[in-house]
Amino acid sequence: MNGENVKPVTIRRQSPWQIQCSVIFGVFNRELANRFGRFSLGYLWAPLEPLLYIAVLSAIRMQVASGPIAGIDPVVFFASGVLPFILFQIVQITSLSCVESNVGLFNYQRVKPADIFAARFLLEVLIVLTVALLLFPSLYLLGMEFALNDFLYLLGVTVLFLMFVAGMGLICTVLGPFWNESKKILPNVIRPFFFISGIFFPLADIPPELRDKLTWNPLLHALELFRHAAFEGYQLSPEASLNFLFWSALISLTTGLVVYRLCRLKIVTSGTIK
Amino acid sequence: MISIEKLTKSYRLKDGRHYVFRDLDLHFPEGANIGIIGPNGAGKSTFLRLLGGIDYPDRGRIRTDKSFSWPLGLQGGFVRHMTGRGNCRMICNLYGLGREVIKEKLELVKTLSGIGHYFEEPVQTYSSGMSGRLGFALSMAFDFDYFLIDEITSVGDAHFKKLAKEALEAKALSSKVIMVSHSMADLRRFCDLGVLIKDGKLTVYEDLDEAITHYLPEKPKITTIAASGPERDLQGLFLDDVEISRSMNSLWQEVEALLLSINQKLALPNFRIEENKAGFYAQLGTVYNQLNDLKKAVQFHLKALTFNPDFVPSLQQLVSLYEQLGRKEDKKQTLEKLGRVAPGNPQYLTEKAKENLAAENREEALRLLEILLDNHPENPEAQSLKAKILFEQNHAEAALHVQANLLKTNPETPAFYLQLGKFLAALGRYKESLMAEWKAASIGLSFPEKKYQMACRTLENLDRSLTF
Repeated sequence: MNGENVKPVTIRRQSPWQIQCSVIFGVFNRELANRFGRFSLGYLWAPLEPLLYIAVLSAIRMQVASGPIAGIDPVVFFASGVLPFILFQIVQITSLSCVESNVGLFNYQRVKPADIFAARFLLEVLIVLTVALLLFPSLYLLGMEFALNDFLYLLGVTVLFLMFVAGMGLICTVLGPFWNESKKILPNVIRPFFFISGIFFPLADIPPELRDKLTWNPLLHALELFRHAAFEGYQLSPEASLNFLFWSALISLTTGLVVYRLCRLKIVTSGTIK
Repeated sequence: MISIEKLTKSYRLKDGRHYVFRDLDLHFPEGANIGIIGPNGAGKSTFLRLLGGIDYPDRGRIRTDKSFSWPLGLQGGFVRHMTGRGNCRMICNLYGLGREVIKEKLELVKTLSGIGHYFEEPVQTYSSGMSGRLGFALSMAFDFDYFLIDEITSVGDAHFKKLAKEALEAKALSSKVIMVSHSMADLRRFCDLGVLIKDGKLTVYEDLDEAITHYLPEKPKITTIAASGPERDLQGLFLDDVEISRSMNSLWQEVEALLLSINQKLALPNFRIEENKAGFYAQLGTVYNQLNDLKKAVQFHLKALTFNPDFVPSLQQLVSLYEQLGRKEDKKQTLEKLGRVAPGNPQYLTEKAKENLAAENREEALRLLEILLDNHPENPEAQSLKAKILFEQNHAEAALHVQANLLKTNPETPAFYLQLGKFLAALGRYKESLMAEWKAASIGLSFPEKKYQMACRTLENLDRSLTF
């Protein structure tokens, strides 16, 4: 541009970082309206699903047995399993449709699939976090006893878990437009994980010879470590490994970023898919 | 600076790879408004998308230090279930405008787009023209170096076109346009430089008109009539002294090109109509009616009825077409059918009133018209007929009142002015009567062009919805 004629142009005044923030903020607002705006119950809708799971699991448990599970209250146990799992599930499923359901937005040069993914991820994390911050103190006030074990450890596990979820989500973001059937298949693949990720039983309750068949699942490790970090007196199974979670998170995130980087143009370029 | 280096873009289609551009090298001169022309499917919109950075080439690249708007097209990149306002706010957010600025811009956008209270409705309730106009209005809130305009100027009415032109001119110092349009008139209005995209090649012409002559090499036949055969009959009648305006000429070229395209497609064995078939043929019939080809109009309306025997718009037009062609029996039958399908139809009631009037049944005719005007107070034909009956009943003042009201809402029909002139004369107001006649004649001058514009717009839509 020639020196003296430079007119302040709205479009260029922003640094890349500011642009990134603007875009995620813009998309985030839209996703917020999209997620809650369409139901009359609005913001009540988000906590309803996990609460329903927790209530059903607790009710069943009360029918068959009483007393704590692996040293903590059953309701607290279920709650600490259901919330992270639901986050994992919903991020994967919504990521599959990131590109498809936002074709209109890609009309704006600034918006790329990763922005949509980031906004959706952020939104889901915030929802689960809010639910957790409301739910656990409520349970405590209702008389269920638990105490925080190790805050830093909890923070570490949370970060690793979010890295794992984000990496898988990025892979799904790319997978969705390339393979249409994935939108039907993947939810059915994730559903069985509800039963093998230690949501309603601790790993310690599984017979040792069966444990090997389950410990490949990073979610199981994450859930075990979550409870260990969060609740004093939780009987952690020796198979649960922070090391395993760390490597899973690293591999997942790296793969996600690499796959996205390689395919980022293809998924929004016309004429390459279908 | 915009330079294009070794750009290749292809689409994968069922029967293999289809290349839009292959190894394109190009440099655009600085600071020009660029008009892009070319046949349908030549890659004009793809080119805009590539420039706008929302689509990517297979190979090669576009180097530029300019900012581009998003392509302003008919679809408008909106989220369908969000309101117009919600969408605009989101897009302002995307471009990092502050809260206060957004508030102010949104009001400007609402005014410029001219969509009124629809601004608060979900975008899915908009017509394509409305969302296109909203997209254009919104883009004016930003200072892009180039506005990429894809057929958008063809969607608005004259008022919107004027506003759009003013908005672009206000930005002319800082911003330029790159524009795709089938309307040569619009291109001439906005652009200096012409780019022709044809057969995978892109040619830059320093002068837009040069590009247009390369695109449409045939001179309009109307200026080159040979003095032989039936043409001799026309010699000296009108063609020599009517100077057909430039815009009319290009309009005529467009209509001809579109008609050719549609007829060619209709002749293909495997053409497909992407909308309601009856509606498609009825619209085509309407176009031929506007082009004065009554026989073809009848033919296509009848075709529409084979897909939907109760299609009211076609029945309506057939009634007036048969009237003009003097086919009394057909008219009667069609009218009866219209009455069966839609007993309260304004045209049906008007025709019935006319019949009664012809049989000197004025009271009955007036009664029918009152029923009609109760439900459709604005119906012009009914108002005009009512005025006529009142006049015949020697209520010239009342007739004048009705007619004047009618003209306030329908100022563009010459016949209504002529009738007004008669009423005025009956009241002894000869000078005003003369002026009404003069007014009718002057409106009549622009009448063919307006009809052609309407026909052209309809044809563009029809052409778009016809695929193979």
